[in-house]
Amino acid sequence: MNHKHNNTSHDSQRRDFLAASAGLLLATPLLSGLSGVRTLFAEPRAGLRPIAETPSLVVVYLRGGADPLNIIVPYADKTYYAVRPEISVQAETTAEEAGAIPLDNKVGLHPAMAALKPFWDKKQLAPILGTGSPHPTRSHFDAQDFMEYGAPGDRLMKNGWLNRFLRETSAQNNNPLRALAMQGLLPRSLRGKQPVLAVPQLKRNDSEGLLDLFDDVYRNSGAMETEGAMNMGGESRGREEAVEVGRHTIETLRHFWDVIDKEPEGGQQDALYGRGGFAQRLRMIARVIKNNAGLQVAALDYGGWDMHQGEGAVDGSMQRNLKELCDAIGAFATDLGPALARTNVLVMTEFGRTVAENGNRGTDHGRGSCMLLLGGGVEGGRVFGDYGSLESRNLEDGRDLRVSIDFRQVFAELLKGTFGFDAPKDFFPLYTPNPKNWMGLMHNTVKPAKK
Amino acid sequence: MSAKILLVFGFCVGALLAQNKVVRDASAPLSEDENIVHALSRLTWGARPQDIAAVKAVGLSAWIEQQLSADPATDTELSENISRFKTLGRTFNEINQLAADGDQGQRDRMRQRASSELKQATVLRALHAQAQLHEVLADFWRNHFNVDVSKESVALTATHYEERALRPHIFGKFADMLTATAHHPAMLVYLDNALSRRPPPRSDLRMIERRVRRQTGSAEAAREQVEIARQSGLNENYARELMELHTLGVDNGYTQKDVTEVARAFTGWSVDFSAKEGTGFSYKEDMHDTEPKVVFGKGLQEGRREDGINEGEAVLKRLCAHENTAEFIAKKLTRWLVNDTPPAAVISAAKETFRTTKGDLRAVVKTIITHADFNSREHFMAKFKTPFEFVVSALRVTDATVVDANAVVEAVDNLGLRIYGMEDPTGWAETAEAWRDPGVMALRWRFALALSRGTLRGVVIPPAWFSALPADPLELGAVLAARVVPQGLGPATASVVERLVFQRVSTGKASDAAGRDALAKDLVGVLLGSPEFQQQ
Repeated sequence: MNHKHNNTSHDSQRRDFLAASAGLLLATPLLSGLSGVRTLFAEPRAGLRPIAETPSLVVVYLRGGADPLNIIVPYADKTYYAVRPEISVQAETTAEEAGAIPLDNKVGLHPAMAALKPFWDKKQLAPILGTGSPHPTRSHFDAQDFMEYGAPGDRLMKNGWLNRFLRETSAQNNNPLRALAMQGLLPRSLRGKQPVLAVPQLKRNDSEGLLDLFDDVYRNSGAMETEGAMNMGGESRGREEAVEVGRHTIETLRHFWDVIDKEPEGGQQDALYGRGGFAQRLRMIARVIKNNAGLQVAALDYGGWDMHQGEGAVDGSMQRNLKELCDAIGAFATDLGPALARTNVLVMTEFGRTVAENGNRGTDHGRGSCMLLLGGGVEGGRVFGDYGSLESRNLEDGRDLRVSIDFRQVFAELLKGTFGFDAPKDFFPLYTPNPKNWMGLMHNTVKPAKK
Repeated sequence: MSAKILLVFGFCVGALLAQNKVVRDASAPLSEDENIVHALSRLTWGARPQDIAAVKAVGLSAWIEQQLSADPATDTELSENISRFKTLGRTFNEINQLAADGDQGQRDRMRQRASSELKQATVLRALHAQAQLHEVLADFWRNHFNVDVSKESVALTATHYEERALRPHIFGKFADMLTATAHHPAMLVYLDNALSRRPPPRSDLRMIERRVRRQTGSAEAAREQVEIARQSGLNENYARELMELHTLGVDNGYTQKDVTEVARAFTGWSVDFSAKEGTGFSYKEDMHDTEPKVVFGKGLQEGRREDGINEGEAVLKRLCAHENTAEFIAKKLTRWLVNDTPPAAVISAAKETFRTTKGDLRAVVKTIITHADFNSREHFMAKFKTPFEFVVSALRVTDATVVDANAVVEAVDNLGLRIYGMEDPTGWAETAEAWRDPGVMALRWRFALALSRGTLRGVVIPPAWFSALPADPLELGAVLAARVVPQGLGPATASVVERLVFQRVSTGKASDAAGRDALAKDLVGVLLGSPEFQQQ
């Protein structure tokens, strides 16, 4: 009996019972009622046997337009120091102040990123410089939309690029935990036709009864299929859409809790992680991956990178954010252990910032930026792309890094490198990734595929 | 199953379905009752039975007129509810004084208190105001002109901002509201304009040029250093959002060059918290960029320093008169009040009103809500409630007593919406797309049950509310369904409600007062968590 069948028959038995006893369950007062429900269904659910190890992609979005030059620091460039007298990261570590951690003879990591250096040494980390969008917007909201929908300039696209990937491959994998967002609301990259769980902050013990209670309320009437969305009127359509979301909540959250409650083989290394929310969310993702729950895509946001002021060099918000970010990613990669071989992490942001500092120890919205790749499939230990000259005559509008690498190129290589997925025509509207142009970011995109 | 129970079940189904006709013709016009439910769902924070009765008493159009001319200042019930907040209704200097006295610890406590009281007042106003439409629009504008109290001094100025920059103009002129926000320290600090300053004067630039040329011998290197110096100090944050979010709409008639020029025009618009008098706005002459500026291809008045205020004002005037502003505001208001996909006919009527009345917001809103397409069945119950709307409408429909308004603020926060705490200048989105994610529903269900069962801290549905309900369980189910979901239940929810009542009756659990009370609470929880209640 395969996993899926097992699970389904169990679910239907449970529903029949629930249907018969809904009133009885509801009759009991809140807490005892809910714990009663829990006891009734406390037998372990079927289907927790590990399914085949799945490659996973973890996407971290730095909201606000993170400043590339103070992340991957061009420590050998004099112009960098000339235009950032207040907020440049120095080239050398001195007794007073930490300096860049050199990666090659041009750029280095901000010192707050030390936790990622071992992965560079193991050739599992690769910065990509000059990434960005062909659309020149410097609006956070447009730039984030365009990037997460993988469709620069297209304001009608409402399916995220990761959601489209899930949709395209749903025939091969219908696991309920194929994708999740480790936060209360989905990032746009995961929004769209394929329902994806945004994991709410709820403790299973307090909340499982909720799902049982609303199980029968959130039943698809089938009206969407029979009447068609357009003929339903706003009321029925809105209700059915809410029902669909509720159903998915119930089914996926139960499954998520089953996975999270299981101790992974080889144990979980909780002590690696800091106490901050970002680290803890990565810890949960590691657990889902290590438990082989079929997770393909996980996404999480990290806000607070719009540093118009107080960015600083090694003494401001950049230092604080980078330290928390990189310590957590370092812990995550270590915790994964052997599973890192089939896991890749992408760190991205909507745009770069002005090359020169502004008057408030910060920087304003710019264009070209950087991304970080870390994982078992990454051609690490190399810096891809470069910043080019930082002199104003070489910059876009005399002030911003140029975009030399289209973010869709990175997305396409990453999907290929992680899942062997070739983006079909129109996967990215008006843009077809050409394997001939592959930069070789991933082990299997190093050599252009034939044809 | 005994014949008696079957008979009871039959009654039960009949009673509920009579209240909740679910199959409707998608193209049929709304009935008179539906029109009222629809208007209340969009123009208030949630329809209560007494609201429906009130509209019926005066007639829908008269009620809309009342709402459009309501004066929140005369709302005594509301003022009683918020009068205990000492940081409300203060002049700028009074607030500032409260913060300035004492040490850092006291200042921090005052910031804390001011932002907490503002958030509490915001939920209480939504909950209790008689002028409900005014409150719905207040939420529109506080998101449109978003500020975030977690940023620096904004906590101390946001209350004044809401009370003096936004609220007086909700039924006034758009230009007045825009101008008030542009001058307000909350906005000036939130979007960094208070820090934005002119580049060094020409004499300094000449010095830089000479020095670099001397050092490098290169005219090009010297020009570059001059260009870099010229850009330092200018902060474009406000200028960009002013056009992108407050007036024209994104990429809708301006360029990066315009952003920089507008930012230069606003240099010197800053704050001074030490002044004994005034609003905290301070024009700082020495920060203003006096070089000529070109905005939308037209020069602003030649800059002498004392003209810095005029330059900013001139930009605001141009933006208000711009056709794209009329369109952007019309569209956004229509989306808020009518449907996530706003109907083109309503937008264009609203835009026309905006243009002909020079941005009279009362007239624009009236155009939208009295438009023939406002009542189309396509829009009826078509909007997914934001967390704020969901929580407040649940409290209203159950006549809940708020003992501690912080509990309401927290409940909304738990569902993902931090009142006055949105980092991004977009404000919180109103569309379903932003809120209807799998996972979030579980949090709404938790809230619904906690409220109905009285386990939510700080909020209680009065026992009298429950005891006034019909004693007969069948009638109870029908009355609660009609009250919480006046548009009628869909089939799945109706059948759960029916089964719930049936089970309690058939097992004898609804025969005493305690049993009926438990049944009522469970029914309310299920109804508030139902898909129908998520819509408005």
